Amino acid sequence: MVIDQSKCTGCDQCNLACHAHNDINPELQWTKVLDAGELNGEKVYLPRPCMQCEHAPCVEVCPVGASYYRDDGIVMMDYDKCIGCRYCMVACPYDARVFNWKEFTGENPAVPEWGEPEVDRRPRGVPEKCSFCYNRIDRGMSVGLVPGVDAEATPACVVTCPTGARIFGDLNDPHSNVSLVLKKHPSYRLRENLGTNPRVYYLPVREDGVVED
Amino acid sequence: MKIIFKTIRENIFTPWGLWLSFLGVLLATALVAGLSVFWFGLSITNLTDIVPWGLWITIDLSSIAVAAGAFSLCAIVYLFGFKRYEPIARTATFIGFTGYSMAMMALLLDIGRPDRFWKSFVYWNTHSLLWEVTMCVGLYFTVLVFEVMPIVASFEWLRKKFPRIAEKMEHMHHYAPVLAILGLGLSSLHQSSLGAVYGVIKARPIWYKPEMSVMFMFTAILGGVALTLFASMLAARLTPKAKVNDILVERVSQVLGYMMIAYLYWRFWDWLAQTYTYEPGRTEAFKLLTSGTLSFNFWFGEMLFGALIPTIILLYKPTRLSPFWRMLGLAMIVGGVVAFRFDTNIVGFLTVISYLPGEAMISYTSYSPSLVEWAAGLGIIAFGLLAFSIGVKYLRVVDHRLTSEEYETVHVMADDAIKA
Repeated sequence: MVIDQSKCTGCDQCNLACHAHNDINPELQWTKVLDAGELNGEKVYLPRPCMQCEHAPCVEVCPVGASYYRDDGIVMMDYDKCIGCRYCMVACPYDARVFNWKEFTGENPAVPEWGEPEVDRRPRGVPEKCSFCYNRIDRGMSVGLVPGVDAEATPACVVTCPTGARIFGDLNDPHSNVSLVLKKHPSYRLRENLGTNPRVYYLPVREDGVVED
Repeated sequence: MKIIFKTIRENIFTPWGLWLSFLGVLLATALVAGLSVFWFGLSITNLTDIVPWGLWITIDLSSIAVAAGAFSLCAIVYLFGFKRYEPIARTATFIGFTGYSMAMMALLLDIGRPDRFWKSFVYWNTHSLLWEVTMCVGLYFTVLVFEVMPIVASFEWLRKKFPRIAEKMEHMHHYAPVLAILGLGLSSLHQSSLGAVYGVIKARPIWYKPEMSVMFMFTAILGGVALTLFASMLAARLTPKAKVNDILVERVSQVLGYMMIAYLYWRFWDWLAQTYTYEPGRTEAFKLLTSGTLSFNFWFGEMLFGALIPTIILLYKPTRLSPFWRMLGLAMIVGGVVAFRFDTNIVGFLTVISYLPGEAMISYTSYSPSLVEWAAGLGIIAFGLLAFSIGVKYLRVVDHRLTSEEYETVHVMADDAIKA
């Protein structure tokens, strides 16, 4: 995933779509939109989903293997295996994991305006996190759609973003949209010094105010 | 029924009765607190996504640390052959058993899905240090069960009612050296890995250092031996049921004093090295310890009263020979180890490192345990005290008169033959 900070307006719609599609407790957030200071008098935002690290500390530390890598690199949670020790939350450098301190009962305020739930609610006592809407990817690909190109096979936050600040695609494919964008523009990742190799890239806001395209 | 009430009425105002009632109140409160945690979930604690491990983890870390006397002293007695310290090893084994029970109670409370605790033994992620700790704690607890069997066998009621079972349990004593080797291996593995659980977390620079496992191992041995000696001496002062051999205790205390010097030396470099380079987050966390909210805990709990003063007390002969000062010194070491574990756990969480690019933004957060956490935590400690008290009263846990005739390890037949 590539997130273009020069296009992000901090509207929080990605977060709302995420809540609806993944049926998340309104008190928790999988993709936080953070304030990242100002440039030339304009506010800058940094939306932060799970980084889907190549060397994910959460996967390494989980004692029962409830966090694991999918073959395509998505870092997954097995909510039935998890014992709730929270070591993954301790280890995550990006605070990407949130814990179900309470059971989420009752209505989801983001539904139906921002979408319909596509996955089960998580029980009390386990941490949860962004899954790159693996369910949408799998379902889309099974009918021949391409993630990042066809909306039905793309994470909800990417589809809903009104300014197109989020770009999704296969980083392993040199001709995919994300690979081309990253070839063309300078990008950075969060806490790269830790060696986690995040799969979420950011295009920074440019000093000269030019919007990337 | 009337007889029971009569016995209670007659005994409640004895020191033993009052002590049991006090522990009973704590345990009853803890039961309510524990059940409400299971019922309402962890939302009734003050734990958050930023500080996910709090008081209970400190109790877990500390009770595992002070239980380490079991493996250290069993190794000294059964592997290095210092047989005369055997009675102390007996006390240490019982304290170890109690400590690990406490730790497992704390963990059961702390995990979000206590109903799935068994999954930690069934599903393995061999990459995870917590997996290794879980397996070792589970296996070592099994070893402790066997090690504690000869002690339980000295329960009069059991001896009378089930003499054969008692005999079998006492027979377990013949495997003491094997159990000591197993215990030493499993303990060394997980006591140090417990430090490495923190030491491998690259996201929190104050923890991310290889010494973490060494520090945990070191403090565990110090705290474990200190608690064993302190508890033995205290028991001997309070009840005629406990008998200590003061020469043995004094000798071990002196060794402990020398080990404290090594610890202070190591600790000095451990902390000084923190300041050598500026690592965002590490320096800030270090500041939290030396001049921030944890500074009192650090300077007084860990350094002055936790390490420096007890070292002097245990190495200066007049104070070491005085039972009062020696006990004070030993208790201070235990306190210092608990303070070390508390600070180490919490400092990594209170220093919040921003992942925003550009400047390294570090902020501090705070955590104070909720009433439920305190109630359940104190209950776990009360359980430990209760177990030890019962052990002293009924199982002769602290009895340094026990000679090796009664608790001999291995009969070396070949030796007899040579003599004859």
